[in-house]
Amino acid sequence: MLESLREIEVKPWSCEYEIVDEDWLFKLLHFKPKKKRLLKTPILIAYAYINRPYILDLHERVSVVRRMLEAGLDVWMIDWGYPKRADRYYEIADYVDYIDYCVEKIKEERKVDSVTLHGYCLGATLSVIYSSLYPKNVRNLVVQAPPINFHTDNTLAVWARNVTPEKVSRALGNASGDFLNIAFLLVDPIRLTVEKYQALLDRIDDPKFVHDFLYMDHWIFDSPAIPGKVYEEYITRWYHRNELIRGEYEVRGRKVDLKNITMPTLLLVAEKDHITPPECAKPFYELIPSKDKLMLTVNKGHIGLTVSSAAHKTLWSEAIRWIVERSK
Amino acid sequence: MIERVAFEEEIIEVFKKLPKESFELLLRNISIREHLENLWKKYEITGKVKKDEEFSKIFDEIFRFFFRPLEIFLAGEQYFKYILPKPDVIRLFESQRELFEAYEDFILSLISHMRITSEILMGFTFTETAKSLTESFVKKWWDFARRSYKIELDSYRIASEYPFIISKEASNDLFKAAEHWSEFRDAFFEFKEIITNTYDQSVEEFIDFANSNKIESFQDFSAKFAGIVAKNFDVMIKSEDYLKAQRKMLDNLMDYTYHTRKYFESILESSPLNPFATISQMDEAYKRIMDLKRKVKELEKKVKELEGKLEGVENVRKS
Repeated sequence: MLESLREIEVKPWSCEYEIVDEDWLFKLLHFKPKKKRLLKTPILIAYAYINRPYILDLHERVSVVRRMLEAGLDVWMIDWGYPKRADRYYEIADYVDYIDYCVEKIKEERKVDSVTLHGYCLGATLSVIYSSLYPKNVRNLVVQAPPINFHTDNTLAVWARNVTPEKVSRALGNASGDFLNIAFLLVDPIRLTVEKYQALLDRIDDPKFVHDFLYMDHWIFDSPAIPGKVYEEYITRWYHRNELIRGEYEVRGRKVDLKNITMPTLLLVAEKDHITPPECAKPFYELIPSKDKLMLTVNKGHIGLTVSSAAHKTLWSEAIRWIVERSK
Repeated sequence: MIERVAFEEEIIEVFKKLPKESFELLLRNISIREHLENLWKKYEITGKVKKDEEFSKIFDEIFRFFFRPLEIFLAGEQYFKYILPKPDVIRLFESQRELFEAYEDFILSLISHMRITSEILMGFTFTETAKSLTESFVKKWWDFARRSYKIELDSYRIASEYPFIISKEASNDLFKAAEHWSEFRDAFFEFKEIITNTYDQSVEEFIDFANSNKIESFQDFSAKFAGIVAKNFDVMIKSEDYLKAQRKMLDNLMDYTYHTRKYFESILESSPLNPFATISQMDEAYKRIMDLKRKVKELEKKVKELEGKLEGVENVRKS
């Protein structure tokens, strides 16, 4: 019965890349282009610091990175690494600084004034912060499932408002991967630990289903820890106080003003997202003064937005066209 | 029998491939399916489903995954049994003195045995010179160690005077750890009770539905059951009672963990015999390194800016 599980070798990252920069924990990756002539504006992808960025290049059939490369984009990506105990004093500002470092490096290498910045989930939050602090460096902003307004009533947000993060970081150092895994499963225990696996047992003889299931599960449980200080800041300042949407958030003494988001902005939203529901993103969309903004939605969840074939058929075709048009 | 062996071999191979969480959840779901199939078989014949032990087994399979890590912390009580100077522990030490002495004799005999064995082995592998030098060194080393470390005092008395041995700070952390552990235990059982009640309520609801409707297939039977439980859990996990219990449990678990660690750290840090740095001392070092790293980055940025400005001035001068 379990033979089909044994036969699949999970090897994420379907596209070739090289590590251009390594700064202790963080890395900057550059994907090998698939076209000889690249579009002028490079794209830098900043994924969340929860889970791993290869969700955007999970396997060939659902790789967003591959589609970007095939469209002639020059694709760069930040990998936030696997924080250890020694990294517990990283702060969100260090993440924003590294985005700045990468943008400057890409500008220098490619002799351009600005890049397209593409953030996903908490990486989108970081990208929005960066774009508001350094708007001249961002030609286009793409934000995918962005948590910007944290005062929503999805379970995860309600729970986050009921956590004392200082106690967690004091006891564990970092919010460990195991701790986060249990929390993410307990948010919806029956669907995530029963219905999902019963569906696998129902379709254990369907190789495509089993393949996709294993790739997803491999990614889901490949959970880096969140550095303790980052966890404290993210829960307290974002979930508890909702500082970002209220215009109260500061990075190294500089206020993050969403009114600075005047660059072309593409918002990608999943209607069934239980982690960052549409209410997390829509107030941001309404608030920013950008005159060239577009919101695309798909009737999928937080991850289905990236890896479902439905999203690839509709949303990603349009999203990549939007990026390409503004990268010439 | 052959099938069973093949399955066991197969499952080890699957274990190597899957994340441990996926593997555990998969195994648990195979069991859940068996229990659901047992319920379905009865339902198919009678058209009725009764609240029987199959439902408890399903509950156990679902929630062991979540309860186990918490129960591991609950088992931390064992620490306190041996750390706190409780009379029964002291009596245990006293009454077992002879046993400890016999154990010491046993260890010494074991050492002699190992020494003789190694001497025999050396006879086969070492040259004559090396053999004699090594033999004499090992013998002298053991004689020295035995002579120097011969303990003449009644060590059990040290254990009975525990409160005076550890620092005040360590005592306080120990008491705080015990208090938080106790709060955590209460909250864990509240948390468990809320989950159990919601599950039981869902089972009742499912039984009502199944007994008053005709479910046509096992797939529908299984999906309806999971659907009802999931719907009730959606409400439960956002309820005031649940949030309160979960917060109390997590906060106390974290405080218990922290104070237990601090207790051990206090003992280590106050002992001049301790050769190890504690986590807190390492954390302090990490913090300083991180601050220095930021300062270096800031300086690098400033140097780069200055270089740019100088280059600009140079260009103006040249033109």
